[in-house]
Amino acid sequence: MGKERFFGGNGPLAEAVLPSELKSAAGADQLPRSSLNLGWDQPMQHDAHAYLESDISSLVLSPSFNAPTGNDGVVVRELIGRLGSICKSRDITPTSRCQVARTSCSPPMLNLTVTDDQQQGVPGQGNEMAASQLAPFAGDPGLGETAARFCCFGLRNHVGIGAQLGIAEAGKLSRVSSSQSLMAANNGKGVTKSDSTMEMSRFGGRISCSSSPGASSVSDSLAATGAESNARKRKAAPKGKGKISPLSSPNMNPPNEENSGTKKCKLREDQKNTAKPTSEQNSNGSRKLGEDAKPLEPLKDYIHVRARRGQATDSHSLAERVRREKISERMKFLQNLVPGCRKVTGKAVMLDEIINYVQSLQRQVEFLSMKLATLNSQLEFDMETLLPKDMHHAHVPFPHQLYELGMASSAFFFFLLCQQPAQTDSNLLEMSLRWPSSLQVPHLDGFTDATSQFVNFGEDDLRQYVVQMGFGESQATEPSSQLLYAE
Amino acid sequence: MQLTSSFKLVFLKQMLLGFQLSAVSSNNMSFHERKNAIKFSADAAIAFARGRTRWSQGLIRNLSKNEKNKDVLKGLLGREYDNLSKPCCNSWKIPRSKKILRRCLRMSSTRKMAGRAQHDVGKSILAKTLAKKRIQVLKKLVPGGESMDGFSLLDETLDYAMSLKAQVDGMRCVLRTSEALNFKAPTDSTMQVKQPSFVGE
Repeated sequence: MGKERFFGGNGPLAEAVLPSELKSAAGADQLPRSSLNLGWDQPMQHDAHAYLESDISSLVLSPSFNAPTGNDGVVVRELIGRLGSICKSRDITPTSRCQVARTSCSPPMLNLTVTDDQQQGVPGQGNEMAASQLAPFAGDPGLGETAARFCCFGLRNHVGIGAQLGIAEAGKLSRVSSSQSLMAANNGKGVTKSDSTMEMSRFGGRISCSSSPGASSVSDSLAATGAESNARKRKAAPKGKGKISPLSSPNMNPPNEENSGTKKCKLREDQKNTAKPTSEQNSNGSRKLGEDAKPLEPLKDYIHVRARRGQATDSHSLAERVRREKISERMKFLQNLVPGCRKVTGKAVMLDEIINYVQSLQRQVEFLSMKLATLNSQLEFDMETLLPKDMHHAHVPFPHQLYELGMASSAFFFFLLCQQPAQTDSNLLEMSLRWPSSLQVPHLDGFTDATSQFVNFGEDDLRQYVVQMGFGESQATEPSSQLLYAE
Repeated sequence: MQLTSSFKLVFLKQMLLGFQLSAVSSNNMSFHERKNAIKFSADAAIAFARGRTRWSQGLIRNLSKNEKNKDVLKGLLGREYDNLSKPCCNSWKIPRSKKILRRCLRMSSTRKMAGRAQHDVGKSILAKTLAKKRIQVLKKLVPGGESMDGFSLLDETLDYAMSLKAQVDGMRCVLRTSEALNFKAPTDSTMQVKQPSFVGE
């Protein structure tokens, strides 16, 4: 489960890499490292969990591949070292969690080293190193869980290699200890931890039963479920984000995690009973996706309405319900639009507010047009000079005198409007609104200051800048340069 | 959702073009004429930028009622002038059918009144009349709103409100820039070129 699930966060490349590596233990070091880099290069879009997991799983892979050949204790120490470096690079915070991680990790570490000792007689130095390297382990709450998980992975791989009984026992021990530590942490933390304990216990259960069937089949099924659940997780998260504003997306994520968590639980229990083919897992996944999609359905669906439980099913009431839902949805949107309307309920009052808002906006337009009218009488309105580049819009031939107006004013407006392509997030007007306000404050003084600034920002730079930026979609650079060179 | 920067940009461009076409900055206009010309440009620009919606069509229809403006409008909109050529026949049919509808509703409501208890009738009728009144007001506000029923009216109101907001923002921006321009010597070109340096801040 875990490896492939972890790698699901990394991307399809990693998943493709993984099975080949499972088969051939050669060249292990390079590919996990590349996937490790992948994990680091990708931005942390979803919660930190997925990427931490991916990094840790990449770590898991390398020692697991080395395991058949190399020294286990050394490998484990290497793992922990890398884990610590990951945590440092991720730059995650408080030390209380680090303690949790330490407590959760160290018992498994102990068990690992114990088993190593049993097998190969490696000294207990690895333990101390592990503890010291776990100290910079300022990790997520999930990190402790994932760390424990990978330890169990390491153990699981040992199943294929070493004595099954001893390892199984160690696996159980690690599970118990890690779950205990996680439970202890849980009391302090909260919702996310409960997910992790669920997963841990499930995972532990899997470990204990996996020792019997054999590593490869378990890994295959786990791989499928892992990819499945990770895909589900990813699908649920973007869906949630797409539908709901960014503010509420953190609220969405815990429910998504819980959903996927419960799903994993179901899947693993199923797998415990029988060796399920991937098709069944896919059906489970699709079922869960359907459940996830249900709360979002009313938002998309206008025509096709399912009769809810306890409601009349005749066509009239259904149509009524559709109508009401449509209206309520639009009212909600209008509530978001009209400022200060959140607490208002009831159609009539809402309509009142909307009417007031539209009326006020219209009045504002009137007022602004009046103000512009007063201004224009004083000013020759240089901004018009920027428009000649737009001639293909207007069918009226422009007098060439317009080109003779100041190059600078057109340039500045160009600049103003040319900012737009460079800024994807902030919109043009916000930027332009910001700009004049900075100008207005120091009217004459600002210009003297600006001279020094302008020394660097020469005409050539401006021209190049404008030309490079382009302007909107339909930008022809030649007219702009013509305009800039106009006298 | 629709208040993208490209939308605002298009609006700005169109509005300034409209200013130019209607020769707003020339001195031979009275204050009111100028103001109307500006408002006209702004409205046309917002309708153009929005594209084909019911309210934009209604707006252009209202604007083109004035013959003098029609040429300017055509020049401004260019190809988009065919916005007007959308189904206008709806507006002719609906008022007539509305009378019939009202008659039917009145009859059905009286029948329902006879069947229901007194307080229910009072509440429902009150709520309905309140909502109806407001919807009527809204129909007058939103351009082209008379020919729309409840749902689409709400939709169009939403759209229209957002476009109005963009319009207000754009006009405010133009106002500020022109005010800023006012304070410096318009003939000094070097002074003008300095302004871009502020933009980065």
